Amino acid sequence: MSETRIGLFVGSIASLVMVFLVLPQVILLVQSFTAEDYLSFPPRLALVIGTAAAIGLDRGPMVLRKAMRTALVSPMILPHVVLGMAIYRVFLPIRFDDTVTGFLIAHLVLCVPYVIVTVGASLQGMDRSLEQAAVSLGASVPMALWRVVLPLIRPGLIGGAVFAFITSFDEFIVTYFLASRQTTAPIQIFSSLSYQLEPSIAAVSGLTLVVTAALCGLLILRGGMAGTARVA
Amino acid sequence: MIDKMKLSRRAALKTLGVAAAGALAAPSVITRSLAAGETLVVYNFDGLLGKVIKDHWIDPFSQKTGVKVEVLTMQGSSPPMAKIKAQIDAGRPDADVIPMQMTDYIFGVRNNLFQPIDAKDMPEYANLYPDYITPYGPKLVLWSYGLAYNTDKIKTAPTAWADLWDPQYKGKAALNEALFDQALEMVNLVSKGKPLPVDDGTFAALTKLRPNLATLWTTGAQAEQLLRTGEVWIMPVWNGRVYPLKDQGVPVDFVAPKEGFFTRSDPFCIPRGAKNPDIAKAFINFSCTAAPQQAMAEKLFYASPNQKVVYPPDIAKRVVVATKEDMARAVPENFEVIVDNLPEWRRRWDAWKQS
Amino acid sequence: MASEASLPSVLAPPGAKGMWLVCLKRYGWWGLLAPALLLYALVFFLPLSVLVADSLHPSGAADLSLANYNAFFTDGITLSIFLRTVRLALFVTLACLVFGYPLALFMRRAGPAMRMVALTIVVSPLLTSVIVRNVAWLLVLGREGMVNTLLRNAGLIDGPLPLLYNTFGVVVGVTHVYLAFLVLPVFSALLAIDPSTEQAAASLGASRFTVFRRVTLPMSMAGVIAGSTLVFVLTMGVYLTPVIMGGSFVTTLPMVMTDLVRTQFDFSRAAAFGVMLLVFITAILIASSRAEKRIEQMRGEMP
Repeated sequence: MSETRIGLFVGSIASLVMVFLVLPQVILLVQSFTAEDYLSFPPRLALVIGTAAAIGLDRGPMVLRKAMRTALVSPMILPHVVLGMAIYRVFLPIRFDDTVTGFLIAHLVLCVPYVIVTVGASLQGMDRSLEQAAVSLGASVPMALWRVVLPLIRPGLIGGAVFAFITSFDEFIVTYFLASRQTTAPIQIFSSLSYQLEPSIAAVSGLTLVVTAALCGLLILRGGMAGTARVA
Repeated sequence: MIDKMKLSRRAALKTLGVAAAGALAAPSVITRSLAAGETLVVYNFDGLLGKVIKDHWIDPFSQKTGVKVEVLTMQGSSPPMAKIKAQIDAGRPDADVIPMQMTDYIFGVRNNLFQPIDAKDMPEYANLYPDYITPYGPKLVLWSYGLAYNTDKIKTAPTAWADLWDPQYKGKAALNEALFDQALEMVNLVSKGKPLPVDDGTFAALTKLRPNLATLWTTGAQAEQLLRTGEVWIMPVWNGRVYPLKDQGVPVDFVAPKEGFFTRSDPFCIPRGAKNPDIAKAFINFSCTAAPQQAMAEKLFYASPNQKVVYPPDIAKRVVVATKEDMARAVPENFEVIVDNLPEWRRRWDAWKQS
Repeated sequence: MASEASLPSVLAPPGAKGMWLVCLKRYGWWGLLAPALLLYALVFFLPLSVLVADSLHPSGAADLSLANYNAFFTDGITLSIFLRTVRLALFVTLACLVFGYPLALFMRRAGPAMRMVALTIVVSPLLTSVIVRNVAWLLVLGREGMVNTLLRNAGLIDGPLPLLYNTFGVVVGVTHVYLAFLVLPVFSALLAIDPSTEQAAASLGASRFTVFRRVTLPMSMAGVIAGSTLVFVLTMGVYLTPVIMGGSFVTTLPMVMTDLVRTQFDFSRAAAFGVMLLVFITAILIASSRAEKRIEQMRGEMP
């Protein structure tokens, strides 16, 4: 009797929390949307740099590994306001503040840690015997890395790409410090369209939802396929 | 287009000979061939004000001269002064033309951020009220600050700033935090009958207002949102944010309170080190002319310093300061004193918010 | 063997492979780390060092001075705003625990399909633009918003409840997005518990509640600590949600810093406040990782 009551209690709290989480998104989907121009930053470079770093951390020198890992992951926890201020302070005197390159590398620092974490996790869970087999059959280490390891950790790569994309796409405060003419979608909404839930706002939000949902779907699908491939 | 150009030339020639002689060399006579292909970078406001300036000042100027105008949008109504100062100090400001709030303007002058604009280069100055010409650019966009209220919820229109303190508006009023200096002056008007000085009495009166305040806002877009959703029933705001809402069918109206309304204007300045000062002058001069100024009055109900602008009766009421006499009735503000005291006021304001 | 074509295309921009191989061949594993280290040196460590240096030179003065740090404690406002930010972070963490823990429990017990749905829902706020999310909350919580309208129509309230532009509104807005950071670690900690432990306790006559209190909760404690720390630390840095949903009466330290930089021309003071925030966050993280370690040890000592 009391057990089912506890189960019911937990279940109902869980359902309420899920409604709480989903409500605003549903409201926004109800708003109609039209296409709108926006500028987002390709997280590809973050993926290349982050994956390289993750492999370097995993395989590289044991000394300093822990300290280096902490340092490389720290932008995730650092308040963006602090990093935004600091980057703004360094970029402004050399007038690097409002350039596409400036934006790109600022966003890179925010995205790379996510890639390092997800790819790092995949590397740790990876079965290394395949790689060793490739090397013993005569493949060079870089070749084994490129041909064997990377395909094996694909789910981690895609997860990292999704996180990097979300981070860059939705980043506000660093861009807020740096931008005058270069803008991103969040800044646009905040400045001119802000607070009037007009079609353009719903468009950008709808776009974010669709793109991220698609990426997640991709992640799940690819992840699943990679799993079956490995089993096979 | 060319006719208008000639008109402004002729108007200039009619005035003093000095101005006329200068007009010959003035940047406003930059011809299409000279300036075409150049790029001018202009800071613009957000929201409807930005749109009107884009449609009626920037685009016509661009068409007339062939100059490509790039627009930088400000967050809210004030340019990012800290960034602009840093850019000017670094010798490479982003923008060629920046509209200033009066307080930013004083700050900029004190820090030597602007290029002087010689009246010789500005033929249209001949048509402006002299009070609205500064050494660093004309004061355009005369916005008036009064009370906006929700006509659905408030049946008898408020008449005074003091109505904000009415207990029936508990949790239904708001203040503009971005211009908190003006809010402090307003509180003084009610409690002391004059805008300055800001002292303990000011903050005591502000504390009495606290129960009525639902929130503070920082951008005009936020103010619109608060009025549109009925979140706030009564608050000080500028006329150009209220009447367009009213015309969209939102139940709001605007009153100029009996203690006195504020009218401020925004100097359009050229930063030191700007890439294209001559084209910037031509743009500012064009913006002063009757047609762009008339459009501003008709679309957004912000008055003009240009004496050539005529206000039809229904618009005259909405622009609040349609005549020289109206302008003289606005509460006089001492911006030098305000800028001197701004850091101290801000400290007290922040402390008050936390109390 | 997997072919190159099966690599995710995102990983193969032109030149990537070349860069990789050159880095790796010439410099070994360090070569792979080099681009990231270079990037961090230029855009992370250098700016942060400049920040620290600036904080010690009030208003660009040449002499070293702790005046800015002094101001943090003595200007009468900043310390109180900092404490309010801590209070806000505590509220959010508490809200995440109260709502997130049962959700994680539910997800552990749910079947695979339900689990997937719940997981998607939990992560979905992270996938929505922060501003859009907050603006949507304005529509839900406003005076004429959905919640107030529903309650009024149901006859439960006479006047609208003040749900927005106060600490409550900000807690709702921040909890909404950071809940995921609590649910995910707790969920994975719960998954790691061997159900047979609980079954054993139950078979010895413990009630379901006792099993939860004596077995499930302690064994998921590492996840709870990790999740709460993450939520707490992230909330300490929150800027946009209090701006949009708090009215200006809810002020956080990041808002003060942004205002100092953008409108008050006092970068060095903002830098000092930023350093204080970093020190505080670092202290919290160290304390949390110690706590996690101790829990691991205690579990190791358990028979």
